[in-house]
Amino acid sequence: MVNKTADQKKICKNSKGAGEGTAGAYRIIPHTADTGLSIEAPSLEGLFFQAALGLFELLTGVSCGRSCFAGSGVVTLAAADLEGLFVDWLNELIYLLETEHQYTIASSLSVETAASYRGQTEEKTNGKTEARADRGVRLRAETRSRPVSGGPSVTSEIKAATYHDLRIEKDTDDVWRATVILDL
Amino acid sequence: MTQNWKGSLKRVDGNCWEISESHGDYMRVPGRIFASEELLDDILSDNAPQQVANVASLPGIVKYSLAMPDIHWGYGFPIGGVAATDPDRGGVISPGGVGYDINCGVRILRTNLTLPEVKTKLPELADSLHKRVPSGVGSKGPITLDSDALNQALNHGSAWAVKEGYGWDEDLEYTEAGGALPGADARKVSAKAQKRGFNQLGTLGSGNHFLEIQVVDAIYDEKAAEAYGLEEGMVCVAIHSGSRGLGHQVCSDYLSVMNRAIRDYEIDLPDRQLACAPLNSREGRDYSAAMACAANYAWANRQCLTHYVRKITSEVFGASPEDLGLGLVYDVAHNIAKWEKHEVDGEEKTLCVHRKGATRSFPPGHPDVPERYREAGQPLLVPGDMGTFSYVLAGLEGAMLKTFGSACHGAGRRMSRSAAKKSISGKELKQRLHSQGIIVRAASNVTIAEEAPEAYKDVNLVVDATEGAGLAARVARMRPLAVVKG
Repeated sequence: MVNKTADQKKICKNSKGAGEGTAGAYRIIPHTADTGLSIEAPSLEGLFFQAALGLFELLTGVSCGRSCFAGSGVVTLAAADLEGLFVDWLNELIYLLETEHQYTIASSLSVETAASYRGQTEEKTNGKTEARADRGVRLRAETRSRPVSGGPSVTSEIKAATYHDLRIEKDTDDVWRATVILDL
Repeated sequence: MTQNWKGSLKRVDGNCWEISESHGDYMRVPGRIFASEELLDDILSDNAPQQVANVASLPGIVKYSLAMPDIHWGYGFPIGGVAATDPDRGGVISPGGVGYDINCGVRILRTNLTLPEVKTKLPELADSLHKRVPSGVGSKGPITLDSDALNQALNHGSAWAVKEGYGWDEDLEYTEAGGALPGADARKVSAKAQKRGFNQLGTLGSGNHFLEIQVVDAIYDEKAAEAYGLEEGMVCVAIHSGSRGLGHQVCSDYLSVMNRAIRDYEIDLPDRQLACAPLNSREGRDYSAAMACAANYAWANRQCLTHYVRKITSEVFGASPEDLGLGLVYDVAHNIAKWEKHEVDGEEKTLCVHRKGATRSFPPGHPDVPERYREAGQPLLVPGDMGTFSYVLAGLEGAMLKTFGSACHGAGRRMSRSAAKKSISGKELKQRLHSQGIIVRAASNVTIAEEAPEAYKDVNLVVDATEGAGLAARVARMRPLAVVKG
């Protein structure tokens, strides 16, 4: 079981019924100049799903589950390793916020890992971001979105997710845990 | 994790503390933190000193990993971190040593107006600036570029903006590096980064970016102030912004590149945010060219913001920008890596100087200081928080000897944004500042709370330590009259 704080319980409630791959919890952690997220989930996919919800709360100050998001899309990413993929995922959501003016989360996603290391990304022009990995780590997410214009408004500009103090690990209790610092 | 640093720091002198190389086996050089004893408790309360030690692991780092008196916890480099690397000794370039907001920086415009002349117009000016200068996340600016125009802005920076009518020819002379880094190559900027740059010129952004109407309330060096065109009682305008989403994307893109490069070049680092590549490698050259583009975009952005500030001020006061004397005092970069000549052990070397939340501080006589200011030294613009003071300093020779020509860039945060939001009411703070004669316009009360004076160190102490260390000297102090936050 994930040991939840009061804040986490509130967020978890929002993902009730979302399924095994999206379950988990996040907590906002303080940083002198910036901000961070601490995430726990029973699956790797849950970490990525919860990270997107956490990012939405950091941006808006509002916690909300996937029922708040209606639009649909697809994001695929590839990276050299899991940490790179996690950072790329959050940065892709920030990119979509800025260029498409929409908040995006995952409705379902899969993460494929390979033992060997080498990744490469490319962008297609059909409005979706596509990626290719010969070997490495890949993510495919069916996404949900909501336009910024429909509110809530962005109260904190987040420049990017960083590698500083980034940790993604599966503990002996089979819980995946991640911490990530984001640049404000 | 924070640790007890008290016993691990050796005092070099009154305003300098050393972290020995023995602190970590990854350290190639010692760390040096420039700070007074008074500032040290805040500095030691978070992970910033460990970040100074981490930066000392960069291949080819020269002499010391340095931190300015406004140091605080960042990511990769501390905010206030400075490191010079030598290409002849395997020196590297690190996107984490520049940051996401490449060439975030500040400029100050002078006016020929005094406080009594602007007092009744201040609310109107603050409202107009807030309403008409786009701010906030992903805000769309008044300027939309096509691909050719964006390439020109990326390659030529402020000069492109002035050529397009967003400024005066003389602005270039009073901008660090003339408002354009050499070696920019727009082909090294990704399509995603370019997409973020098409419509963000002339936008302020959010967070700690601001426009501020100030009044010069003290002069410390009459001669230097005269050279900079500053007088007691003069109203000035400060502009703080950077390279917006384009710069953020350039940093993200190249961190991915560098995280592959450190494996290829077998570079061991204590923090992946420091990922880097040799200056002479393809990856190092590509990042350098893209970083220069983002730096140029930031200068073009501040130049366009200058144009709109001049236009709006002109409309509010019913006089031309020229008649109002809205000339540029200076523009300095806070987040940048630059090729500079420095003396190392008696030999002149060309080094790559990373400044992450630090300002260049070149002394009197330096050829890169504008001719009009050369006798006084380069102006440094040091914003404090919105409730206290900002300073104009002049570069000193001590900075060349101790910090590769660098000094502080601001007050430096001491409280996290979430802690500030929890403990301070934005609404009450706005009223408190109003009672002190400071008008605040911001997108939300949350932003005001996050940027509260209590969240920052005392800029007076930071400037004291900077001056005490011989890195820069006070010229003038500014008091805020109206603050516009994104």
